[in-house]
Order: sequence, then C-alpha cells, then structure tokens
Amino acid sequence: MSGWDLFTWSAIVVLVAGSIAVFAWFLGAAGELLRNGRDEGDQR
Amino acid sequence: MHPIDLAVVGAYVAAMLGVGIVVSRRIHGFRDYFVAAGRLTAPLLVCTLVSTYYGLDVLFGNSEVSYLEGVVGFFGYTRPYYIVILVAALVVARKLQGHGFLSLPDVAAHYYGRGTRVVVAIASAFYSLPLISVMGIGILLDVMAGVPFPVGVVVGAAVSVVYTLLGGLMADALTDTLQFVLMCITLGIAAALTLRELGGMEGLQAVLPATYFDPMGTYPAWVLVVFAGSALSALIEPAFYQRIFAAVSYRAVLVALLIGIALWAAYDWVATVLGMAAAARGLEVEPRYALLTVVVDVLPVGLTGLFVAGALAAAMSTIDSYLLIAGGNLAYDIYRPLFRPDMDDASTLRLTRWMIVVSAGACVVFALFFQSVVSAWIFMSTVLVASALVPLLFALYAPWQPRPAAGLASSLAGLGVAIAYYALVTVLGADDPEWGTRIWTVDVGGLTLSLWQDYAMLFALPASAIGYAVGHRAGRPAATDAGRGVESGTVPAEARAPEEETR
Repeated sequence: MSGWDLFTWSAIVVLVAGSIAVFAWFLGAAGELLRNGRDEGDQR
Repeated sequence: MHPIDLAVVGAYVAAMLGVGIVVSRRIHGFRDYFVAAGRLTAPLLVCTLVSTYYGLDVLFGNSEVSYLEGVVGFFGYTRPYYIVILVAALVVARKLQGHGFLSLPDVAAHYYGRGTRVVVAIASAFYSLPLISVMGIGILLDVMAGVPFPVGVVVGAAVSVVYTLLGGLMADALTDTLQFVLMCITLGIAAALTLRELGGMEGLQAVLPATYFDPMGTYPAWVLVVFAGSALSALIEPAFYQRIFAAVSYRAVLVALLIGIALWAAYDWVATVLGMAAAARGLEVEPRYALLTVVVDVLPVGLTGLFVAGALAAAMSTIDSYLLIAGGNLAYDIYRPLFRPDMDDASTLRLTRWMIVVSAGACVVFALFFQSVVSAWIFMSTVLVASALVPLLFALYAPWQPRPAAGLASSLAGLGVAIAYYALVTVLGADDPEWGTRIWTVDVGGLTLSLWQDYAMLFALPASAIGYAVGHRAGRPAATDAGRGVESGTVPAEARAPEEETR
C-alpha cells in the first residue's frame, strides 16, 4: 500500500468514524442542552 | 433518480423542516434567534462549525481544482485554512469570547465606531451571501434530475429561505448535527467505493499525469498566494464569530475547532481524491460537476439518494447559517445603528427575517453571474478580508489606542480597491477557458502582465493597510467611556448576555 493510499484510507476512517463519534457525543450532551433550554423558558 | 433515492431525499427534507418548526417555538427575541442565547456546547459547536464551513463550496470548489490540477486542491487551496483556523482558535477566539458581542461588525463598532461598523457589515453581508451553496444546489438538481441550472438555483434558494426563517441559530445548530453526520458518512462511502473501482490511489497514479501528484501543481505562484490569502478570511469569518459569541465557554470553542480541523482535513482530502477520480475515469464534464458525476456513477440505488441528501445537507447547513448572518448584518448592523438606534428587540428580529429574504434574492442574482465556484469564493473572501482584516487585527493586537479614522479609512480603501479591481478586469479582461477565470493582459513598458480576476486581494489588502496608516496618522483617538468602546450601547440591552448586564 502506497503512502497516498494510506493517507486516503486514513482520511476516510477519520471522516466516517469521527463524525459518528461526535454525533454520539452530541446525543450524550443533548439532555443537558434541553434541560437548560427548558429552565430558561420557565424563567421567562 | 430511482424512486427509493427520491424517498430518501424527501424524508431528509421533511426531517429538517420538522426540527426547524419544533425549535422555532423557543425563539423569544433577537439574541435567542441570532446567537442561540449563548447555549452552544462543545459537541454542538463541532457539528455546526464543521457543517457550516463545509458546504458545497468546498465539495465542488475543491474537487474542481483537483479535477483540473490534482492534489494541489488540498495542499494549495484548502490546507492554509487549517493553519489560519488554528491561529483563530488560539488567539482571536480567546480575546473575543465572553464580551457580549453578537456579530463581527459589533467588534468593529466597539473599536472604531459606527462608520467602520457599517463598512464591515456591508462586506460581511456580501461575504455571507451563500451563493456558492445555492450554485451547488443548482448543479445538484441539474446533474441528478435534469433541472436547468437557473431554475435549480431559484428553487434551492426558496426552500432554504423557508427553512432559515423558522428557527434561527439554535435550529440551525441542531439540524447541522444531523447534516454533519450525513454529509461525512456519505462522502466517505462514496470515496471508498470509487477507490475500490479504480484500484486505489495507485490506480489513479497509473492513469493521471505525474503533475497531479505534485503538491504545488502547475498553477502560477501568484494564484497559490491568492489561495493562501483567501484563507485569512478564517480570521474574520462571520459564522466563526457568531459561534464564538454563541458558545458556552472558550474551552468549548477550542475543543470544537481542534476536532473540526481533523474532520475538515479528512473531508478536504476525500473531496480532492474524488475530483481526481473523475479525471482518471476520463469524464468530460464542467470541472465543477466532476465530483458529483463520478459519485453518481459509482453509488448503488439507495446510497445515491443518501449522498444527494448528504450534499443537500452540506448546502442547507451553509445556506441557513449564512443567510442568518447576512440578514442580521443588514438589519442589526446597518439599518438599526444608521436609521433607528432605539429599535426594540422584536422589531430587530422581524426586520432580520425580512432581510434574510432580501439576501436570498441577491444570492440568486450573484449565483447566476459567476461561472466558477472557486472564482466566486475568492471574490467573496477578498471583499471581506480587504475591508475587515487589517482594522480588526490592529484593534486587537496593536499597542496603541484604535482611532476611528484609521478603521474607516482602512475598511473603505480595502473594499473600494477590491471592487474597482474586479470591475476593471471584468470590463477590460477576457475569459480564459484554460484556467476558468477572467484575465486582463496589460503591457507595461514592454513587460506583459497577466492580471487574473482572482488577484484583487494582492492590491486590496495593501490598500487597506495604507488606508489604516493614513487614517491613524490623520485621525484622533476616540473619546471612550471608561474602556467600554467607541460605540457604547453597541448591543441592545434586551439582546445582551445576562452576565454582561452586571459587568
């Protein structure tokens, strides 16, 4: 496998796995975001 | 397109609109709408930053360059951005986060007053017109469904306006998360299938000329300088500033940008490879259509629909974000300070929504004017960099006190020279089919100069620096209110962050 191939397949892995990981992180933190939004709405 | 592909695209559009409608019920004022009340957390910032910056402009612009020239699309056209974004994350974001600003012109107003604010707002609004993404939807509908390009441009803009008007930045950021995943995964799958079909990068090397693998390509050196110069726009990126101001903390901004750089680099490289794959397959298409054509050839039914949804996602996440900024610039940064300084929050919000519609109309006009995605992008970057970079950097880092005349002269000189240069090359130059741009050939004392349309920044940026020096020398320091800035009351009281009220 050439250096270009290695670079390209690494980029594909980072793109796919990285985006899924960030989305999972977002879902994990979404509860807090919704709670904050609800609390703020209650104060208005 | 196969009915299954159409169903996938339809489901995606419906899901986006649904999220927008639900979130729009939480909008209570301009700050909720424009900076999501400062509630963006790190993962949300990653998704919204990555998907907003990376619309169809990068996908088609980058692949346009790599289709014609090879890996220089990555090394010359996009790589400078990562360096500039890193500087922006480490230096600029730290300095500005937490000040209660809402927009880039707010920062200009703080240091230089109303005149500079208006000039920077005009440049920012123009830069923020998402014409490249609208062009991208036109290209997408043309290739996928045979819709004529001008009709596709109008349809894309109309759908995006409805979507943008719904929910402001929070709806934008939430839908960006889905769009972000969709566009990254579909692009990754398309690249993997294309490479498998062509025998990997070694297969490309066997077919393409060796220059395609030269990191500097065969572009004239000045073009690479212009590419690198347009990356400076990341230092004064309106969407970047809006998200800094919307972040819960500086740490969230830093983490988001560091993760974002890794994802952007991967996305750029994959788009570069797909452009080269189109050239390797011998496709005779307009360069801006290269990536889309090769992907459609390679992907099976179902995945094609998913890719189109991903490409639409890339376009919509950019269009909604930038229409929001352009509308905010026109209403909040230009109209309000010039004509109705006492305008209340509800009226600012209402006017911003109207200005979003106006911006979309302007966007369609410009999208039909430019032939090349890359040329359009460089022009817009030039306008913003030429008018805002010099005054902003001096305001933040020069040891002397900012003078309003310096900011105004600098931004006016940069903007004026950029527009004058483009007008000159448009009128006196000629289209060059080889490079896909307009070139004005001038003889000066026996020396023949080829002035590309894209060289405007090489003249406009020095003009902005000279304007700053002249204005600084001729002007006087502004009388400020205990360090609160030249234009106090920049942010309407009801729109400010709660903590700013107690500062």
